[in-house]
Amino acid sequence: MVKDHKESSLPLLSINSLQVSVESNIILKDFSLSVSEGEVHVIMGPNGSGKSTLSHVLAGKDGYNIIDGKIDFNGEDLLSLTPEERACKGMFLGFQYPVEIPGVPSGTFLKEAVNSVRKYRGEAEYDAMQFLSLIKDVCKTMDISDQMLRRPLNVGFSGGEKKRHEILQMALLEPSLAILDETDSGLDIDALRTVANGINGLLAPNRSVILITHYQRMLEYIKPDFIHILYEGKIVLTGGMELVETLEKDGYAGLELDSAKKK
Amino acid sequence: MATTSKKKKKIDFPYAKKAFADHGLKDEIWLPSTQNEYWKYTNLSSLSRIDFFKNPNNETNLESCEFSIDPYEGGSYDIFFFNGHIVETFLENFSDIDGLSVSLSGNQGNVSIDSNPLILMNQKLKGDSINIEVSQNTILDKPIRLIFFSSKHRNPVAWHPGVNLKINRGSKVEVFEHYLSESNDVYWCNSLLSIELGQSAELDHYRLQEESINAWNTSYNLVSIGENSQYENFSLVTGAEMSRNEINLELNGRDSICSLNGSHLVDSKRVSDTTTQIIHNAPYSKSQEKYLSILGGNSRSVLQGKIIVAREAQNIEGEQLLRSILLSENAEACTKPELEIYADQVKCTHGATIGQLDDSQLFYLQSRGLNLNDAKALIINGLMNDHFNLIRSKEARDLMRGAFESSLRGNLEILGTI
Repeated sequence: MVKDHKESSLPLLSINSLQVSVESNIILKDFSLSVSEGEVHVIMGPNGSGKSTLSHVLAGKDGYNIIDGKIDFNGEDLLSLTPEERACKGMFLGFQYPVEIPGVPSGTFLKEAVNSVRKYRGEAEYDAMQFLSLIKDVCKTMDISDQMLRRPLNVGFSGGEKKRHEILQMALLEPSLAILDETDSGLDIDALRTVANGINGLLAPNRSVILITHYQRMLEYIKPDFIHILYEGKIVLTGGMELVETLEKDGYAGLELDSAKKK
Repeated sequence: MATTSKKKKKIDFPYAKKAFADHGLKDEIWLPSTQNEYWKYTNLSSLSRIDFFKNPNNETNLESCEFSIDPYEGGSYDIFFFNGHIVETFLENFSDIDGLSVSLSGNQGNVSIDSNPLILMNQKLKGDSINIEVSQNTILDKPIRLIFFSSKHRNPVAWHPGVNLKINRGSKVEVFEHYLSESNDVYWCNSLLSIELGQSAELDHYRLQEESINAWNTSYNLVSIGENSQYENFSLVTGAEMSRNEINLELNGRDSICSLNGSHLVDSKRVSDTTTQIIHNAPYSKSQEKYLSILGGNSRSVLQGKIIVAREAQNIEGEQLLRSILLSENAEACTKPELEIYADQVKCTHGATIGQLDDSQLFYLQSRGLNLNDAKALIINGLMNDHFNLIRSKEARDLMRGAFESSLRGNLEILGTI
């Protein structure tokens, strides 16, 4: 069963008829999506359907040409905000490929990030001691040791460590909307469980999630409200777990995406 | 025509001519122009037009100056050059240190003048000079710190200090040079360091230059390294309108090792030049060079590194990496690695890169709430963290890192518009 959108006055995120190109290729075409507070949306789709482009455009990465459309986030025009303003206003992108920053201990980075957001929100910044006590429990949940906090950010981290660290960042930055771009890719069963449990622990009535994934295995742990199928830059199907079951059985062919697109 | 071409290689320097005449010297004196291969990227024309005054001794009054220097953790043996003059009261502290002798010197050491007019000026104009000798098998408990401090002064002044450092067999020493100024007044410090390491000796030599936007600094280091000895040099330049730090180093003994590293963090119209020449004269000697320039505004960095391997210097290893990162569209990086190899069995690598900060790193940090400048500063500090790890001494590393971070924090315009 597809859950009804919550009847709040305004959705947290509202994307209307978005059209995006990279160089001369149009990647997202007439893309629309509405996410209300507390909802978990899953976006699935074959390779090249525009999933990562969507996450990058939402987070404000350069290099994408917005041809048409509008995105409102918390009632504000998202496209007019810098990436850091989006982050400070509650948007979080969990990267498919977290970037390595040599020479910067991951603990130092976490403190800078948390304090940047707190400063923006007019809250007092944490000193080193306060910060360490703040992150102690979260680190334990995400299986991140003190030693890992001293290592340069993402440098030499295993696939699992990188993704666990992404969820740790999400926990510390307390976003209202988390976009998790293939957070499950490259994880073994144990790491997947840790990451999924981490995400589950962060689900809250005031926090929405857009989970971009290729695989249904993450959905064994996280129960979505909506599943969308992205195909050739547009959401062509929206439904519940029955879509995943069809996918699991017959692949994207079973969903007859070309005919769904025409509807 | 030959005369014209020759003339172009020289810049007339009225200050030096007058100073030479005052000293009764007949030598021809000039500044090298950019027509000289090793001065191609560093233009001394502006220096040649400054009418420097003779540095008056009687203005020396260190106590009345406003400045602060971060202490060396664990203490240091400090020698002050105040406006080019040695503050003699400091020398009294050296009278009874076992194995260390410090004295005023009557000359600038036995340096071959060659064709370098800056050395000629240093030697002939006889600025204050000091001899430091560490006797055999001495491990100094604290580093020697050489502080070159320039106070406020009404007129442009020039000085030519000298340091002769001799580390005898089996000894181990750390030396930290620190150049700083009280104001933005114009001055020129033209120093000469002559360093000799005996057999099985170790010298960690650090140099921090954080001078005013109107300062000129030319330093020449002549280093000779004996058998089984190690020399480490790290230089950080965050200041001066123009600085040229030149190192001419000879690995003269079997199994001798040198490591020359450093960084420029410059902005505005500053020019920072590090020019090195390493000569492998002995077999099984090793050299390593790693320089990293970070450039904002309209600044220019010059990194020139030459490695010469003599015919008899078989089985040596040489490694050189010169990197520059441009933070502004108008900054300029001039890099020139050179190898000149006459031996058959050598392992030499060299590389040079010029680039910008990585967009994907910047986006990652911005997506976590850091503004663009904070993101740039974090990435740069990260690069430098790795670079500072080349410094063996923890105390020196902490001082360098502190100076770098405070320079970056105090001058965010350097982060530019890219």
